Amino acid sequence: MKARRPVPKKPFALVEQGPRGLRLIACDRTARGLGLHRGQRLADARAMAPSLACEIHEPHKDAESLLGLTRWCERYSPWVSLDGVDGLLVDATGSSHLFGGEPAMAADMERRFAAYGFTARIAIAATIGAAWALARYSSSPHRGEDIGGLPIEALRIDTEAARTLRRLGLKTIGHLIDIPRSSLARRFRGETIDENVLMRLDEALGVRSEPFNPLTPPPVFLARQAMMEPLISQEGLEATLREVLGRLAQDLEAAGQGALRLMLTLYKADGGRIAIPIGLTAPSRDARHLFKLFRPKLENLDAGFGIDALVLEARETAAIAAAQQGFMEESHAVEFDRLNDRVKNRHEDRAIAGLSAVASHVPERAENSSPHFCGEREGPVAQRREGEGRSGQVLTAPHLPIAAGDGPLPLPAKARRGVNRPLLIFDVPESAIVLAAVPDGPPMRFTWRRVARRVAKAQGPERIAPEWWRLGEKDAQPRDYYTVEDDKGRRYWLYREGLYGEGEPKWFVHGLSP
Amino acid sequence: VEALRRHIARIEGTGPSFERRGKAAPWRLGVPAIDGHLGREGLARAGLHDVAPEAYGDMAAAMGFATALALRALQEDRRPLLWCRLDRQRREYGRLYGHGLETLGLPRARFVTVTLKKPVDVLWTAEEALKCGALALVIADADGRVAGLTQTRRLALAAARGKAAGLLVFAARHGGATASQTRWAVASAPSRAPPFDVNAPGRPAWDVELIRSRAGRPGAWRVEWQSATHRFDLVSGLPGGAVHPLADESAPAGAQKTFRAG
Repeated sequence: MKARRPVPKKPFALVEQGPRGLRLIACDRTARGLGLHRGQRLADARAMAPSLACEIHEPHKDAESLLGLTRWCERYSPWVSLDGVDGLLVDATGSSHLFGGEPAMAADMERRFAAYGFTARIAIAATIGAAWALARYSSSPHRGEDIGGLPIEALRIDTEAARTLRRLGLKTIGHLIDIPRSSLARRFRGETIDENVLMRLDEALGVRSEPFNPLTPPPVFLARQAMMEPLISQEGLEATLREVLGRLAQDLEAAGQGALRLMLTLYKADGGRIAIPIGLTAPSRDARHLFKLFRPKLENLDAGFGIDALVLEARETAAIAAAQQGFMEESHAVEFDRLNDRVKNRHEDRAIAGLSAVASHVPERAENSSPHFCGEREGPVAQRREGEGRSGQVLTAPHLPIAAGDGPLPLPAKARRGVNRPLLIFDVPESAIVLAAVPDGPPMRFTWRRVARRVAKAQGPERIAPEWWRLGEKDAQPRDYYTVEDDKGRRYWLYREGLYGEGEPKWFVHGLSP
Repeated sequence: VEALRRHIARIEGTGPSFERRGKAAPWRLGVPAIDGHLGREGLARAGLHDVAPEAYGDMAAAMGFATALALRALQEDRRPLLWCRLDRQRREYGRLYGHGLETLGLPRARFVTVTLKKPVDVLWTAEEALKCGALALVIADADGRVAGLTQTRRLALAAARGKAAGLLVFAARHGGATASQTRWAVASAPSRAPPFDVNAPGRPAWDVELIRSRAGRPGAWRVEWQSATHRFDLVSGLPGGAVHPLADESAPAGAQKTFRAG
């Protein structure tokens, strides 16, 4: 299959550097009409047709183009695959009726390929082998013809085996079918499948099944809609999507599943495709909710000349669990997941997160923000607790199940009252110039963000030693933290890095308190 | 005239008929002097409220006050709290620190947070969150230039639909119109020294001004927040006065010995 050249009158050929100079490896119809053929030397061909235009063959570009075309064929069936360097396979089982039967489907394919400038030979058969044979060797591949009359080369066997068979007078597949199987098996016992004529024959006849490796693994849940006319308007697209979503939701419901990852593929009339992925926090099969997630992404879509087919598949599904306990009551949990989905799909990579405590002394490391998932909040979470001791102790306590939401907000436990942490903390502590009354004492005045502040009250120090067991923290200095209040009542969380007597200590503002 | 008044009250969402639908107890500050200014029903549980710092340096105080208000509401509500933050504010004032919120009295299991780039995104998220019904309260960083009357009206309608309260934390005090029920301005106030340590900062104290209240009237107070009991306390006008040593934080509410004005 090759792209049509813009100037059809002039013979054209692709050439390749062979061991004895340039050789033709493909020629167009005009060139064939002049008697040129594949394998001919370019010099000979030039002699026969002086006007021959030629270009160097670029196999990787062919492969790329074929791969694109194969992907495009997913509009017919999700099971498509490349076949060698010049063919593609579509498993149309169960999908041909969507296009009005097999002949109509083949005609549709041929028409569309022709519209894109490709000459295609399309055959539909019960086995891969038979389809391969018909597409390449039949004079009229459209009609489901018997493969018995085709030459033996149509069996996908290598040239050596074919030559042997021809020498034996076995010229068509029909001849092979007639002779005893045991003799074929005895004669052609090759290592590779191409040498094993009997296996290839069985595959073509459907006696032996042949594996089919689709480009994309088959999705479990899929709904599609082909349009009579390409859709251009947003409203039309939305209406179609809603219908397709409804069908998918029904399938999911029948299977007791909910979608976690969805892929909407829009096939454009000009041959392109648009893929819109959607991710969910918790499995869902609510068509209205899913539609809400898709809609913002449809808003500024370049539909080009219109969209003529739409395929929606659930790439990842999970059983919908009846119980989602933990954070909230169940109905709220569902609502919350939906909110999270909407936020996540609208603002890329920004998800609603909960803060969870981490067992670490260093304040900026004592907490991390974890994407919030309702079902996964239970389980032991290390919680940091500090009493009077400066160093602080690390406790592993089960995460408080307050979330279950029975009764009013519990008051904080008495044990935690000693901790005094700021409400806001800077990712990177900001340096400050500090004047202290005594070298080891709390600050008296400090300048931060170019404003001088007078300290009215201070509490501290709370010494936090570096975590020397972490790599790259060997040179870290201990910190002395102070909570200070200036004369206006504003509170800051300052620390001094380093100790007096070991170089000049540095001061930083690490957080703000109400 | 009475019918007209009721009609207006229904449109504004302040009337008794509107509030009666929610079964939860009224959302009050717990200080009679202030609650008297909020109208009969307290703060609207399904409404919008503005909080702004008095000056640039009072942002932490404003956020602390918003947290305290939220905690008053969460006492009666089982649903969690969402805090929508703006990237800009986060860089300016730092990120929310869960340990610090726990210091104020909000357990980390009760809140979630999200940080977004644009003020418009924050408004969108806040609206969706208010509408969804799974959250008791949404605190959002707002930009006075973006959150105008129309936008906040949308938020107020969403709040009414989701039976959730919205607290908008503005970056600065501004005079622009919003659809909020109440508007507060907060400044830090010198705290009273805790018992047994005269030099240490005490409980967080704020000068709170109620600039606007739909159902009530404005006023200004100095309050102190007790994180252990989730209570506001009114502070007399004398800063620096030490708390009575017997007024321990764990004391029951009735045994409070602090002086109360009003």
